[in-house]
Amino acid sequence: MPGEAATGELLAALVCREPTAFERLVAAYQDRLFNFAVRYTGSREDAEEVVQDAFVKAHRALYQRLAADRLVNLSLTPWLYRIALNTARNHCRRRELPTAPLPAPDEAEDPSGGLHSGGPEDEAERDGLRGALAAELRRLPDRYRAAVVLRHVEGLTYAEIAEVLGQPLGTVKANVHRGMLRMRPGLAAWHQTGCAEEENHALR
Amino acid sequence: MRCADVAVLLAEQQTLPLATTLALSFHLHECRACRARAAYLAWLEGELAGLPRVTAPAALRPAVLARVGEGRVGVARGLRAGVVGFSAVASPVGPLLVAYGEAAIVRVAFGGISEADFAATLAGRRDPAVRRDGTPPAWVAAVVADHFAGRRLPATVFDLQGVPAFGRQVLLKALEIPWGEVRPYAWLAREIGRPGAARAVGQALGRNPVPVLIPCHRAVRSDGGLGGYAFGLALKERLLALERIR
Repeated sequence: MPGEAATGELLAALVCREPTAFERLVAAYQDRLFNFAVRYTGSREDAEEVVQDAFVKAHRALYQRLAADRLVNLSLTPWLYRIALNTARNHCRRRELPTAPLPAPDEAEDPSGGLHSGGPEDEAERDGLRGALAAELRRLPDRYRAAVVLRHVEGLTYAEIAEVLGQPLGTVKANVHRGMLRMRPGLAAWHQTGCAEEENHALR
Repeated sequence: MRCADVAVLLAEQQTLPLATTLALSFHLHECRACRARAAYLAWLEGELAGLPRVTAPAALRPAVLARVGEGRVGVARGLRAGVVGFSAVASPVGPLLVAYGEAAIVRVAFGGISEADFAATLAGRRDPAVRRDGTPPAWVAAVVADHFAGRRLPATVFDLQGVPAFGRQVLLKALEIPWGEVRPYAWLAREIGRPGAARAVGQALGRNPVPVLIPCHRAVRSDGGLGGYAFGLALKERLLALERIR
């Protein structure tokens, strides 16, 4: 993850239209955005399309729309996550519309266990805890899923997430928390042991 | 403390005041349900953070660059043509010698630098035959006029390709100091995320290829001292006086 100084340097290169600047931006952020998109969409194929589209949108904004003054003070990381998230949302909407009407968020549970057709990245993950985590994330209503993935999978700060989502800090915190709690019943089989250990530890 | 309060507090345990932390741990000690919930949250955080990171497929970057039309030399929209000409532009601090490309200003000098010397610093750049324009292009005159009218110039009117990355950051930050104000070198260093690099900031400003227009003269010492100026302190004082700072 690029540090603050590296991000500033990248921005300066973008502002000055240095020929390799955009390529460096892609190199610096492709893995983070891809990981985010895989965890958000639940599918590698979808994620690849989403990240490609997101970078193309970012390029258009950087080179055609954004005034240089705004560009200099851009928070690059939240801005890029925001573009990726919006792209992923549109992508999922497009994909789901022709097959079935959008289910209400609360009924979004899917008999297949929530795994998207593309599936998580490797077969081993289909089973076991990681598969369950991916499925539970996928099953979360969008507002919780985005918040939980950005906070606990991508490790963004609450302030950064507030910027990504355009929401107040308190809303972000509440949504992260509620999202985590919503996943609890689905994960009961896995956290039982962990929970018992914690309690023993606490009682000692 | 109620269980509902606990739920909210658990989300920000690291930043709580001490009294709240104590109340929280007291409640957790008493309340089995909240304890289990806290344990679950900690466990899930750990598991989510521990999910293996997926890396982008190798084809992604070339695909993106092909779609935005980069990755081929000369296609990038940002490529500038280098110096095409220079001209003397009248200003309140005497004529400014300004060298420019098709759409960006490349270099500025003033304060008794001869045109021949100025032209010599431009030779050897991409275009060997630098034109001496009798009157500056309208956009160049407009940029200079904007500056002396106290308006902030956009970064895109400058071609800073010859400047190293650090210096460029310093110059772009200096461009944000408004007309009529000064900032210490240390402020600039902090702003670009390199606190402690105040001396390097001073050096980078000293190599500003477009003085006056990128207002490196608005950088001063923290103790109120003027600091240095590549074209002599007298001119720095004149520029600041013009902005009614001294």
